[in-house]
Amino acid sequence: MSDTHTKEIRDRIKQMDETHAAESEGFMDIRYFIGLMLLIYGVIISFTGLLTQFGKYALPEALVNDLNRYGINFNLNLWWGLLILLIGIIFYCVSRKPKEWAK
Amino acid sequence: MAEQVLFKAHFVDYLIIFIYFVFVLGIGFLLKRYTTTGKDFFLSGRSMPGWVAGLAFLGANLGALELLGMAANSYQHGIQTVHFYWIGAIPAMLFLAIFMMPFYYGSRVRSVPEYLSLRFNEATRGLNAVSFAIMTVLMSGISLYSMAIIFQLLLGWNLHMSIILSAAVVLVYVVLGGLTSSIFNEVIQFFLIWLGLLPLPILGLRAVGGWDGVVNGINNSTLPHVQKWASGFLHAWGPLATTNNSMDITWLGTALGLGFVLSFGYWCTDFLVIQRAFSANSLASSQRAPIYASFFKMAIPLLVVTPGLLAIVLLPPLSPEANQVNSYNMALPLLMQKFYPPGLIGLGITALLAGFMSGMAGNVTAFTTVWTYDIYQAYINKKASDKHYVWMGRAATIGGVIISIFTAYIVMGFATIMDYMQLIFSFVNAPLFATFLLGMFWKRATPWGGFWGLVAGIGAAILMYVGSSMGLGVEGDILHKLGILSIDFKAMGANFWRAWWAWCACFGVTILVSFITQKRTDEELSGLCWGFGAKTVKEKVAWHNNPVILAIIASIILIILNIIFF
Repeated sequence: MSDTHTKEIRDRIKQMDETHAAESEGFMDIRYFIGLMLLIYGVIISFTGLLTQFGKYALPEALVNDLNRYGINFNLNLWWGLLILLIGIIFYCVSRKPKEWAK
Repeated sequence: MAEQVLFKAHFVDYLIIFIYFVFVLGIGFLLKRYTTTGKDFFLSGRSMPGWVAGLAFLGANLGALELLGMAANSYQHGIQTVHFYWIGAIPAMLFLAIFMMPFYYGSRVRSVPEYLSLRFNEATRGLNAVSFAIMTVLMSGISLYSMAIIFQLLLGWNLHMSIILSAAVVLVYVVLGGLTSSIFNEVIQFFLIWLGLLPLPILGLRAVGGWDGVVNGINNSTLPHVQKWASGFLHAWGPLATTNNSMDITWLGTALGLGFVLSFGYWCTDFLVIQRAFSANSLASSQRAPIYASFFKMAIPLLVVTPGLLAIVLLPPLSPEANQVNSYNMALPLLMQKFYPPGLIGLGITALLAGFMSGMAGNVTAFTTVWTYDIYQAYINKKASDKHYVWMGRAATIGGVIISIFTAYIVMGFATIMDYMQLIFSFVNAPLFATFLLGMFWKRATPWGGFWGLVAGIGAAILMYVGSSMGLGVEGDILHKLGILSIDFKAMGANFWRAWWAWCACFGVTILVSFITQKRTDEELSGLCWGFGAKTVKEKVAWHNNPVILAIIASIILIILNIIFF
């Protein structure tokens, strides 16, 4: 309950704060990974949508019946996939790439 | 049970799940190179921009179990569920940002218990650190088990395989990248959840013919529980005028218990979420993190409450029995099954999987930090090198994951203990906020006042719980009227009131003991208490970066939302 207690803890914090390699500051840009991941997902999902569109990949019958019943008659995979792709491209373009991290 | 499976996953769905695993492991391996010091491993080098810390702050809170559970809650109680997202979260998040971060971040402490040690004493820190470490690691085990159960129902995955596989993946990426790995996964999970779940309300509303369709569907519903409370399903506050509503609680109990005690106790003191704000690159960023999170938190009812209501209208009656393909908890996945084609299904499943895994990683990183700095460094090995503590952090991660796996198997054997554990955790920490409130804003609060107040609060919470489960407090007696002991209250309403009284016990005892014990000197309180040189943001910032202005905007949105759905 004395000053030594407070000082001891503040010293520990200081030790950790100072033992820090300055070069690893801002080392990685998460936007790069979000961008890349959504880009890949966008391509996969919209491609699946395209296959359905051209009759190469049939959706399960029960699902088609349900969607028709509710009047949902657009290609969900295609449009949502393109939206994901777009978000992915935006994130990818604004991010710093791995080769710039080293700087 | 295992015969019935909700989704017949296609190749494209598995491909999407597989890519998710490749990414999280890949990020872990890339991060290893940059994770060498204690500051990197436990605090992400204090280098995260505000928006990353903010999304991680929300992501750490937004578990898959919560999404499924709150959709189920909406199916059972309707729009009243929004209280968990609005009054039960936003005021506390904004309070944390504006009033508490200057002490937390400004004092450079590495964990919440460490603040208690500086402001009060070692005993207070020890009590909080040990109880936090135990609860966190047990929660991690519970979420591991829940994940295995859910994926057995969704895809027919083997329980043991789910547990071992997801624990192993979490272990690898947290050991390699520490908090940064965990934060990156929370941010990725945030995007997956929005992209994976947002089509549900859009398609569902289109299918029933817009919001009017939901209102009509609920008013004409044949489900007994909906018929009984019909008008209550479509309003947040209206039904709370009396206890005559499906949650069996008044507006006062909701505001005090959920809106004040439970919410502030969680958002303002739980290291699991606050650690994300500690990773921010400046005090201003650490203040913006909870505020950014609050904007998205307010929007989440769109992803869970709306589907819960849609499930009432669109799905055949669900069952209150847990762990079946048609239980309340399955409302979200059942709607996915109704609307999503293969591909989108994979994305929805990956969103849930990411929610479970990042939830576990969050628990493990918070546990690791508290173990290393608040237990190991504080009591076992005070003077080791930074390298040694990083090594200990990695070892603790492995230890934490192994304990989680054990917990998952114990829970698998005795499923009812899970409910008790979750209930107890939900109010044992509630009184903690009284300790922080007095610690940060009342300089007279003494070290032993803080300790005994905390003991009294936790003790009161446990006693009330035990008293209720032993059948004390029948209708009509004074203890029941105050909500202290209440066997016939529904669990949720009773829980709000218990939290409130436990908070009062902590608050009162801290003040009483403070008057008869020695206080700390002004110099020791520097940077820890209101009026003693708290760090503030001095530089001028644009209005859209100013925490106070952002918090005011968030408050206005909160008020408008509550009026619309009153």
